[in-house]
Amino acid sequence: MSINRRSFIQTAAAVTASLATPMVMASGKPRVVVVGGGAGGATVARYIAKDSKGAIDVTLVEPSRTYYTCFFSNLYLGGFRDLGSIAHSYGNLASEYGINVVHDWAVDIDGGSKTVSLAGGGTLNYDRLVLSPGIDFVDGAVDGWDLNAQNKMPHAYKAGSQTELLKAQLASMPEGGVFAMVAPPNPYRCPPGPYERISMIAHMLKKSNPTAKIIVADPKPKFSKMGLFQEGWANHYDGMVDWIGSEFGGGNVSVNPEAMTVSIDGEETKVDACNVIPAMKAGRICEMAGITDGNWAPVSAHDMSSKVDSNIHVLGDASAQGDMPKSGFSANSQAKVAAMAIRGALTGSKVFPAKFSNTCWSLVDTNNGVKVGATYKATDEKIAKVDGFISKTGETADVRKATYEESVGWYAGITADMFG
Amino acid sequence: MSLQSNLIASVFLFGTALNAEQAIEKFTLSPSILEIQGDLAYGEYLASDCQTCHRADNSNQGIPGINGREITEIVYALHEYKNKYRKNQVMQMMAGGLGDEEIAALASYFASLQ
Ligand SMILES: Cc1cc2nc3c(=O)[nH]c(=O)nc-3n(C[C@H](O)[C@H](O)[C@H](O)COP(=O)(O)OP(=O)(O)OC[C@H]3O[C@@H](n4cnc5c(N)ncnc54)[C@H](O)[C@@H]3O)c2cc1C
Ligand code: HEC
Repeated sequence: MSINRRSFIQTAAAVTASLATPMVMASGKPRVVVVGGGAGGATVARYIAKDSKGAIDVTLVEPSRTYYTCFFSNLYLGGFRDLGSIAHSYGNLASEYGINVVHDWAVDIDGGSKTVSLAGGGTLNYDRLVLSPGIDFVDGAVDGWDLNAQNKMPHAYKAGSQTELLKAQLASMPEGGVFAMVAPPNPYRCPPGPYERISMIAHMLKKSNPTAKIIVADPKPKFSKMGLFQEGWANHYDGMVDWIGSEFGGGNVSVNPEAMTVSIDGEETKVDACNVIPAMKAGRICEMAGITDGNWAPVSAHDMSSKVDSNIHVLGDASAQGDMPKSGFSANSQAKVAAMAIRGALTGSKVFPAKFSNTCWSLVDTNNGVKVGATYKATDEKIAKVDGFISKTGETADVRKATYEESVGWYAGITADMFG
Repeated sequence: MSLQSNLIASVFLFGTALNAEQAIEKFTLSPSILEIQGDLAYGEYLASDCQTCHRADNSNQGIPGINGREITEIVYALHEYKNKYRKNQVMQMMAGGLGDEEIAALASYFASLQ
């Protein structure tokens, strides 16, 4: 049985090889296709192209011509950044690194024939595929909300027009009006993101609409950097923010986008602006590739390859990898490990043991930054945390300012690392 | 005690020649560590983790550029963070995870950049 199967595979391989020869001769190089040009995808494409020095053909599939970073999009809401400063294009990746940038959606993946189908009708062949499609939302996660409601109650959890919309809605709140956020359950993209957003919205409202109220309905009992945020809210935005955790019914929520009401634990409130951040799952293309287990795509910590199909690597938010938070920093760090492993597999270049790191900064108020970070290593089971730190409550203004300045440096660094 | 370590930290960051001499008395590395020849290829891979923050174009914006510095200077800086003689939390963590060989590899690589 096993002998038969084996000889069949060998024959099949020989046939494929002879059929494929003309095509291989034509391009001659191993091919990597990357789906998604965000923190994970842009980085992995750039590193493979840069370090293989032309020995690998790299194609990047990304529908948008402009990538708006989610990182620092909260600073845009707070008035610390303009939208243009968080917008990036793919021009350098094409011109400086020779990456074939295709503006299209990947709509199907066939791991058997190693092909990616595009919405525009084309098909791409790969030797290795990298998926870094970020997140999609779980249907029905917040009672009363679906994607049709995203104009009335934006998620602003993919940056760009959604973020602009939320900002406009906040700006047109009546004096003393109410803003509500429905926070997501774990695991989700950027653990401190919703709470940095609350800080930035409070900062903006304190200036333009100081009697406004902020309500957060949270399905969790606690959240990332909780002590630091609560210290900041008490010291800077006293009385503005009402955080309702799961112990107080924060998880028992429904919304009515038509009536603009939010019901928390049976109590209905009329709101003037509402940000619904639903539960998340891996970008849908991972399901189409058949590599998800539950909401996420499990990967090997050594090279970020899928546990279902080792020719497919999954980066960033979409992957289930272990201890790293879903952040841009993490996706960028994972991309470098995957790039090294893929080059090693396709060109025989040297492969070193995987190492990862992450730091997430959040801005609480002007020149008042806080951070949390950790280093990680690959084990056979998962990406495992090695060491970490977190800002302390009661730090001096100088320390907080230096932390904010670091985050500005990091933003410039990571976007250069992604887009060249 | 904390005053003293503050002093050491500031000496390292802004030190004049005189202060630097005093500081070196407080923190010295053995010749066996300083003599390690760094592996450039390994340094290049490890450095990718640093370049999320330390920009490849060496610009200074909130985070110092470190390209083209003397190998010894980088080796010292990283051991100082690792041993908490320098204060920054991020750098203490990043350096804390590095062995002597890795520090040598990183220093050779960053020293080789413009
Ligand atoms: C408000 C907010 C604040 C944040 N702040 C920080 C921060 O300060 N620091 C930090 O490190 N992280 C932060 N993050 C998290 C960070 O944005 C994400 O973790 C990171 O972008 C994940 O990278 P990724 O590559 O997995 O996905 P993304 O960066 O989202 O990229 C996915 C890309 O894939 C494309 N795509 C999806 N499906 C397809 C398909 N089928 N075909 C082709 N292309 C497709 C999308 O268009 C998108 O461009 C924040 C997030 C939010 C929402
Ligand atoms: C998360 C961002 C971040 C990462 C990642 C990072 N650094 Fe740093 N680095 C900083 C900051 C911020 C400083 C300034 C710290 C201070 O004030 O002491 C710094 C300082 C340094 C210095 C001292 C520079 C000087 O002017 O004295 C060296 C050397 C250095 N880093 C090397 C590295 C190396 C090597 C790595 C990778 C292993 C790395 N850094 C990773 C943020 C980072």
